[in-house]
Amino acid sequence: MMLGYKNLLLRSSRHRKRRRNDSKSKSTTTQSKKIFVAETKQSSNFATKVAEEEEGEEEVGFSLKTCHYNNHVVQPLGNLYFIPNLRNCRDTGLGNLQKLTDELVLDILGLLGGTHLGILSTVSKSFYVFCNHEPIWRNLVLENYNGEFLYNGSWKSTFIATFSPSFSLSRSVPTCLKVRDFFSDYLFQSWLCANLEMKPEWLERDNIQRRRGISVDDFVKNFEEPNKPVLLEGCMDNWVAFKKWDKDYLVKTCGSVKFSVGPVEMKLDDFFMYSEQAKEERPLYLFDSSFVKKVPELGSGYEIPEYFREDLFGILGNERPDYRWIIVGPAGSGSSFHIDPNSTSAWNAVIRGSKKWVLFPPDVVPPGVHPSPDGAEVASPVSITEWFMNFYEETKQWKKRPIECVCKAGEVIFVPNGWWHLVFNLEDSIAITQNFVSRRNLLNVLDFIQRPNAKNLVSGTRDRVNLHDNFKAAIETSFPGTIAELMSKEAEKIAQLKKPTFWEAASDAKGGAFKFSF
Amino acid sequence: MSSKKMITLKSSDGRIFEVEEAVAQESQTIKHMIEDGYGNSVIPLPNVTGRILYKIIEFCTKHVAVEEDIKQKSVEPTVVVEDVKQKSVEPTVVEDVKQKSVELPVDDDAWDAEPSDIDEWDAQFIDVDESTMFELIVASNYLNIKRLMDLSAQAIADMMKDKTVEEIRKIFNIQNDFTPEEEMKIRNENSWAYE
Repeated sequence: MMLGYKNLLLRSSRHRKRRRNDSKSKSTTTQSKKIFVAETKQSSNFATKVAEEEEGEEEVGFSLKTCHYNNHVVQPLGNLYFIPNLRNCRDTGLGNLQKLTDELVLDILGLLGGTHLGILSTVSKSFYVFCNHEPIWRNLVLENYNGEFLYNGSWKSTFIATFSPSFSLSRSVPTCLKVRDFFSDYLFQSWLCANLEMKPEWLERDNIQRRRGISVDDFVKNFEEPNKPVLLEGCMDNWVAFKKWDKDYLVKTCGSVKFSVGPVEMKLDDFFMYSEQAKEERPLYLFDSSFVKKVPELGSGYEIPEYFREDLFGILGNERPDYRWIIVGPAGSGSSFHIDPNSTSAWNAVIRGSKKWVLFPPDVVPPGVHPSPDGAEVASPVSITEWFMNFYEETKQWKKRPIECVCKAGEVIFVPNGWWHLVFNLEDSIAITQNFVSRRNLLNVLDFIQRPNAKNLVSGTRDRVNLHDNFKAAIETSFPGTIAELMSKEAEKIAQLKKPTFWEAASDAKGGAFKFSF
Repeated sequence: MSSKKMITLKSSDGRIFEVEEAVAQESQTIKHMIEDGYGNSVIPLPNVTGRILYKIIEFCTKHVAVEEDIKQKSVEPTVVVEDVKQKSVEPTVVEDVKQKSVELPVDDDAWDAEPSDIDEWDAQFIDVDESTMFELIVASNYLNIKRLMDLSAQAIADMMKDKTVEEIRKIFNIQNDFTPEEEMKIRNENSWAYE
């Protein structure tokens, strides 16, 4: 699994819908209200009925993580029409700015510092709601304090606690104003995505092949060569990690070690403090490629399953691209659709927790996902929940359905090279993943890393431009004749089937993203 | 391929503008329309008034010229001649357009400015009244011109900095919709920002 943030085929900044996170205030009210959400005909707008909770009343549509009204909850625009003559305090409170979209307002506020936002919060109810938008405070914390913060219930509280510790200590509970008449689809959607549970029907489809105890030859013949995913059971039975690793163990072993979390480095202790409390659309995700160097003990906690031991990038020694990661994330964290870089294949072993996987073959672009023609950038919905809400249903009618599964602790999934995949942590999870190059995908990799825009596409290594030449030379030295042999086999196959090369086919698919049919 | 290709744009109030393709393509929205094959007919922009579109074209023309300048200065000598030829063609195109009596904002300084002055030029460009600024950000968002969006967003953000609450309400014409109790509660909540 690859970092969603630093590598190839990332979500580009030109998101189709730019959503930022929201999180509910911790305070509760005596009057609790349940939010009913029903789908309208348009897939991305939801009309919400707000009703007093009664005993035994059933929820329609989605279930939310908690039942309590956020004190300054945002309602979707549709609700405005249920109540005659009601003004949207969003508009009146913005004054001349009301014609700007919510996104633009948030973009502008995102350029301001914490104190500016604090003061602006007191201008009007509308500014109050906008200025409490959690993603803005998350950015401020990460930009100003890097990983040196102790999460304090919300990003805004965290910022204040770090910026003005004396102020924070004198308050027990952050007060929150109840704003009842603020309507905005954008902010509502953001809040909804942060609080939605996975619908059971999103987890139902499980059509991946499962195997236990197969031979390496079997694996290569039936899965690696034909480039098909498979879920392997029983590979981790002897792993120390599988027996011992949980949150407590990791904290004891390396709680004060800094690991890579998105754009910052955080002490593992501090990361767990965050992950225990956070409820966001896109929780921070710990993804570290240097974990063995940082904590050698972790490296000896697992061994590479026998199917994946041929790892040709290894001949580059220290010059090899990043290839192994420890992944720790709270429920709700994950990676949205991407293809692993450098045309490598991957395996992902769940040590604790469970992950929902959705995979599409290389020539099928997932709905809602728009790669740039060269594949260097990918625009897609910001959050995974949003993808499920708006695009998952489409896949049910497709002929080329995705492969899906829930990968549980003790299971290892094989992700063949070039496959699109999305991963969602259903519970707090700990996993190890590695990417590799074997003879089965060597030609694809060489092809990929020699492309003219290699320096944009190739990732995980410092010397992107020379990677191809260095790697090819190293292979010729260590395994002379291998490349020639593979190429002649491939030429035979192509001549037989008259099909384009792997990346030609995939590129075509990406370039003509709208070619797929429903 | 030729930089002479012209794109015709029509504002919400019916004004027609003819611009070079490179200038029009500063807008990702228009660029995609051209890629989809609409570059040979009039492109209507119902969300942008003529007044604002004029300013936007001015902005895009300037930035395209600055980029051309930079490219010219960084190319190999053998290519310079061709670029110079291209550049000397541009004034002719402008005149042609003028003869067709369509509107095209021409900033005489645009062709002479050094790239390092562009920030100053941008600052002057965005030094306009608030309502024009707001129209610019909305239009540049619709037209997807990142540089202009960023410029106008920063300008509006700057308007919000280091002002009292009363001043902000006045500048943006905002009614205070808090009750006195609510206002006190919120000021308390945010008193850390006032220190």
